[in-house]
Amino acid sequence: MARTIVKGVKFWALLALLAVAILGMSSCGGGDKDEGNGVPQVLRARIAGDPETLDPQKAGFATDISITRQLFRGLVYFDENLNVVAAAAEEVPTAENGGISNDGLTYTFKLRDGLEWSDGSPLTAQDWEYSLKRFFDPNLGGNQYYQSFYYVIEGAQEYNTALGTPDQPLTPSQSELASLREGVGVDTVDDRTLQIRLKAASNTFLYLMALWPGYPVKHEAIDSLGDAWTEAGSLVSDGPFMLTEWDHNQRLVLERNPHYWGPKPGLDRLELLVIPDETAAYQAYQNGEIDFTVAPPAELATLKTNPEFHAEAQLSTLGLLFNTGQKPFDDAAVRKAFARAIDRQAYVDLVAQGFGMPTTGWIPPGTPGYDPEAGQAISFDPEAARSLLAGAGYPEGQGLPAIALTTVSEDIGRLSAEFVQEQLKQNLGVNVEIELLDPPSFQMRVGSGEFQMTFLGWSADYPHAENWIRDLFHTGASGNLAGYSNSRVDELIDQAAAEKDPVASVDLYKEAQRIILDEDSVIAPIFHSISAFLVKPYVRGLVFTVTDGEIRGDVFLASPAISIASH
Amino acid sequence: MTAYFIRRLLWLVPVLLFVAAITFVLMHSVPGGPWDRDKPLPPAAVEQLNRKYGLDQPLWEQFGRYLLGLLHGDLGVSYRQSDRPVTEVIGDGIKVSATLGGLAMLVSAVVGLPLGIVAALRRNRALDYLSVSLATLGASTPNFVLGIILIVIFASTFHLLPTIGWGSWKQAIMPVLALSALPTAFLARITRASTLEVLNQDYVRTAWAKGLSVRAVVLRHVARNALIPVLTLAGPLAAALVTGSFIIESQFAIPGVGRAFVTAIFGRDYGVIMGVTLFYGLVVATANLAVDLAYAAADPRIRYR
Repeated sequence: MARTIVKGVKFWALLALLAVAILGMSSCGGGDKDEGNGVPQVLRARIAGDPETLDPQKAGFATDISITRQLFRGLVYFDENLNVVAAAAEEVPTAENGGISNDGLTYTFKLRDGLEWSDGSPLTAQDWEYSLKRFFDPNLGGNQYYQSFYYVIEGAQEYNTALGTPDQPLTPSQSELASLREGVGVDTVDDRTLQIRLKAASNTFLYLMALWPGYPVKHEAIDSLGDAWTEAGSLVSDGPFMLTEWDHNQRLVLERNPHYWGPKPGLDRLELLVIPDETAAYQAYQNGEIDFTVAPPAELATLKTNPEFHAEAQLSTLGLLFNTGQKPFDDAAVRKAFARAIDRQAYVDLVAQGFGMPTTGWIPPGTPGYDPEAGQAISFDPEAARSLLAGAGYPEGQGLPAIALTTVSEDIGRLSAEFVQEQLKQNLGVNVEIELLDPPSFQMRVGSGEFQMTFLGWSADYPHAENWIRDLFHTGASGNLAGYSNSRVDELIDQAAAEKDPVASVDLYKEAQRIILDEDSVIAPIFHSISAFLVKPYVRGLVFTVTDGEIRGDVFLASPAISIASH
Repeated sequence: MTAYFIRRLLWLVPVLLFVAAITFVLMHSVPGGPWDRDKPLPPAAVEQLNRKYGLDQPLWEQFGRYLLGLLHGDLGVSYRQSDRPVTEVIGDGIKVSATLGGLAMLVSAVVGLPLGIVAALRRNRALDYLSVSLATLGASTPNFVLGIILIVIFASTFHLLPTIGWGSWKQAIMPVLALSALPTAFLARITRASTLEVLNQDYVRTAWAKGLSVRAVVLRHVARNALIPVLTLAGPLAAALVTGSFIIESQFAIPGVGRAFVTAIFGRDYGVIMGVTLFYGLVVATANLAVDLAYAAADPRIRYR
């Protein structure tokens, strides 16, 4: 049998040799270095999932929005202080330059000369007319979430709701639909002039025009390709970058669009890698495969002192929402008692690990309408909380029905729920059950009002108080999960929307917020989050804003000031 | 033999139909739907979407339409990936997972089988102990732990290999190794056990007595017979590997079908859930059939009618 041993040895030796050879080869594999003239201007960032869509009129997720921001550009956009500035339009319409009519109902946008799509074909006012009307098409698909924000445009609501409601479905004919589409107040005056008519004056309309639904899409591409028009090679866009590669669930590559009207971006290329797992992303970051990633919560303590670590405030607030239609939270005194029993500072220290700002206000700093004094009446005070609860007829929690806190079974939801449970027990003597649901079950339950308490996290779609109050607390608003209704608040919101003076308008929202928090206590704001992420030191010139999406710094990724230094 | 084969193939139809029906009912009885978002949609919009995709119709009718589509090779569209056809969504994932799993299976067979045979031949000697220890270690280390160890060595310390993505051979090394450890150990152990059993058989003693070469005895008489029980287990093992590993795919950011499946379940992406389940059913059933056929090839005493 001696020969078998020899053979065995040979086999193992061969295997070992093979392993060495493989390792040796891999170590001389080429990097991404450019030969000679400098470093390739490529930014590699992580995204948490494949975009659901890159169609700007259908986009809704943070990832989708981040990417459409690079591919498309609307008539107006934001500057670094989030003021609205001219983009594809020559100037921002104002009353002074005649862009806004005296009654505030007609906006006229004058397009820049010589605008082109990324395929070199001309981009005209017709393209915007097509895109905006398409946005309200009831058969468009997508999630139809943002349409109602734009109902201030004449005829928009009529067209968008032409198919009726589930209880009362309507079946308009093709010609009726076509005439409703015609009725949407967006008109091409000439190739370079677009006019939009509103049904009521609005002081937030230009913000809305700077968002993704106002990005143009190419009619011909959609007609000939259908849903597949957003694939790489087919997607025609008008922004600083164009899509050159989309390997679904793996990566997207964006390259500079030579037909873009604006300043040349500092980056030649953006590589977006789909890495759902945060730890895997962090691993890849450490291994130098990506330049940019979210800081994993477990590593926050050790990363704080790392020079690559960034912490940026976000326009976002987390609060504990009470369902006004469910006992015992149909009583404002009980809601207030619960709101006063939560130590916000402790939440930030323990759950958010210091990355957040404790608050009793709902509208976050950085938004017109932010009020540092907001929610004084619901600040942390266990004494007051207990006496409020006693006053409501439940001394020491005696007589309260069973109470459940319904939340999502993800880490942060569970930790937050356990924290609140502990606080209510300690400060109010109330026992609360935690009900953990997976995201779709959670959304169904909360969406249909079958909950007592839950967490409401909100991030701004645009930097204005309206986005924080109207869509969540107006009677019957799509985001009004608490079933909240106060005619005074509705009045204030309606007045604010019609108010021409921006300062007066913001004051009305502040007053509405005061009633919602101090009087009705329908939500107990807990903290404003801070996003923690890592950026390699050789990435220069990134600008972060409070409205960044999935990719931090995405609002200004096309900036000429961004560069990749040698590394 | 041919008749048997055809009969077994025909049996696939009711089996898959059953799998489809069970999955369909289970998936629709879980609360929530594909339209749930970070910010909840207004109920009217949800109804609208349900109507567009026919989700407002009775379940049996939806199922009927699904089966009808299936006959034409139409698996529907993904509600979560802007209406991409399901065949395309899972097709991409299957290619990746099958390559990853196939490579892992190959590594396991190339390493595990010889390891088991050699261990049996050198029973209770150093080589045997080494092989058994390796096998125990491989079997008791979860693949993600091995994944981390590999990352620490090859990425964090020596910067030799990338930790994420799929497409180049460099990206395949670590996930394939991590994924193949368990099946390698498994194959080595059962190969060793069944080889030992065969070594005690009379015909092996006869073969030695005839003065056949070691090579002839081991390859023609021992290995061939020892591999029959191994085949029984190799079938399901291969099926499990090829259908994708969610954990390894997450750890190395590989766009495989395992990850697609889990994402689809959380997103209630009905079409993708159905497509992947049917694919799993098909692979497992086919693997079992292949094993039965391989028996006949390996052991002349086995005949199917």
